[in-house]
Amino acid sequence: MSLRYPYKMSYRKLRGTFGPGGGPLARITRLRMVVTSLIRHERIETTWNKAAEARDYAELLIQRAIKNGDKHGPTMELADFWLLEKDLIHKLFKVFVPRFEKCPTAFTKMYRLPYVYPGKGREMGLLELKGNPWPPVLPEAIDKSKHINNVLLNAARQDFRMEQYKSMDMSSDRWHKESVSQMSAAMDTVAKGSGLEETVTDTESLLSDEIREEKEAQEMRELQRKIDSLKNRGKKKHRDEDDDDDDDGTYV
Amino acid sequence: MSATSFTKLTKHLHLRHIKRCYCSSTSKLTNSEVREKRNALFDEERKRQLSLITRIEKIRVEHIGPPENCTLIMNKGLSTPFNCAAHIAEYLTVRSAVALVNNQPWDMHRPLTEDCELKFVHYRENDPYHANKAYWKSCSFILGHILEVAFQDQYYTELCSFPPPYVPSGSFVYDVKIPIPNWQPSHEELQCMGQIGAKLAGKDWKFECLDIDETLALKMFEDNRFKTQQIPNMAAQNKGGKIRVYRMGDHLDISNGPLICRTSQIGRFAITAFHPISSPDFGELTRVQGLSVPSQVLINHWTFDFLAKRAEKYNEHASLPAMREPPPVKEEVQEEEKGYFWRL
Repeated sequence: MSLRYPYKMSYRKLRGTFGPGGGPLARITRLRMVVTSLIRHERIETTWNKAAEARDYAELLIQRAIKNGDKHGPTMELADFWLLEKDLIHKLFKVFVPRFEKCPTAFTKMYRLPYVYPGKGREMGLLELKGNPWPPVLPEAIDKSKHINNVLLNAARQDFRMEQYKSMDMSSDRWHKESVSQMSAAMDTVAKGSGLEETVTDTESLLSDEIREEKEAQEMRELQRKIDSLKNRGKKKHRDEDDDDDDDGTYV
Repeated sequence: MSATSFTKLTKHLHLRHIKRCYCSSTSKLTNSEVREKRNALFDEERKRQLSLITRIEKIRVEHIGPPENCTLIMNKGLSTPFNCAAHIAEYLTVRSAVALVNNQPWDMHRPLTEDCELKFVHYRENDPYHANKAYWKSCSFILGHILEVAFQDQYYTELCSFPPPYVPSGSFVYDVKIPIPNWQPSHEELQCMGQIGAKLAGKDWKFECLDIDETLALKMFEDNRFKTQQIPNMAAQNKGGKIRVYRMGDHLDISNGPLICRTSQIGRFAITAFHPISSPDFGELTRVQGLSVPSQVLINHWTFDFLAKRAEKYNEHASLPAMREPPPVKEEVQEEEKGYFWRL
């Protein structure tokens, strides 16, 4: 079991909860009071730090109550400790357990409140249990998707995607056709390897056999290199298809 | 701007603030003369229609929506939704694009005729479909105004028609006959023309509407050969053989409406492209495209430029002008537009 919202690992300092010198006991007493009033009223306003600290304990209490039920000794002890007013133990098991049983998220929600002026300059917060009977804190959000700017932008986005798909199809087709034709031409010349000898002119026939063989091998090597480069280029094109689509000059 | 580029710019455009043109035309038609004539006819007809109302009757208007639901007792055939809004709250008069009378879109400046339920629609509602549609239509209307005003008097532009509005197409359209063969405006010229539209926001003209007879409409638009051809068909299709005419400032045009309330609702406005088109019935025309966003909707300059680039492309959704009036926009279009986002 873990808390269902991002929380701080380190604790917050609550200064002077009951005046100076209260110590850790005063802090816990103060938090017990906050948790109790949260369970009582379901929405409270206090300083941000107090609300955030109490939130953790309240969430944990509800989680344990849901998991273990009201016939589990340690859980009842926990409830007895955190709820100073004992009638709230009944509320916890009879109201909140059924309410939050199937809740997949956190049970509480926090909002920032403006500073109180004139005052002590403390950050204020609002802590509430979800599903409370009070009116919502924030006004209903406006659905902006049908505003004219968003209608235009969504249409533009759709257009852009369609163009992208089209150019992708086009480019892969083009690659296929061109590479196949070039490859087949190159393969033909390789296959005609013996034909090269026939086209050798008379002056060349005068050359020594060694030189002729060397020249032949060089030509074969060149052809092989050409085929390899074509193959590689094809592979590369497949990889980069998504990135650049408009490069008409690459195969010329 | 250097002197040479300025003269190049003002070759065709009529920029009144900077350059004064003394084009006296004795024989040729000019846009300004035609506009004056139309305005005079419009004023006369409105006076006549007002004089027909001799006894003021009262109607009950139920307003629904913010700031509160209320009932108003208004004058039949005289009070408009704009008057109702002025009674309720000032912000309704400023932001409302169109009114919904018994859930049917209705112009803000069109008199109410019976007991009704009234709502106001603005551009930032949860579903501003009617406001967007009226805005797009009004922008086409304004495009017509710009095309009549922007050129010098020696160039007599004839407006043909504008197709039904479809916002996702990216641009609003007006098909027009420009008497300069093969003219493509430069970037600066497009900007100058767009500024005429953008400056309307400061003028705060209202869109008045009037239902007139076919004969009067023919007389009003006798100098426009495209409109004269269209008017009999339109009158046959409309209820009671009437033709609805709108006036904005001194510009008059035919439209089925509804259009928006005032020109102060115009925010960014740009004319993006001129495309040559050929219509089977009206011959060679020019399709002028533009882009605009209402002042109530904020848009980043980069985003607007991005959309303007898209608006430069030829608008394929807009049908070509033809003698038959294009079929009225069905409810399906609304459905389509509503579902548009979920299909992405």
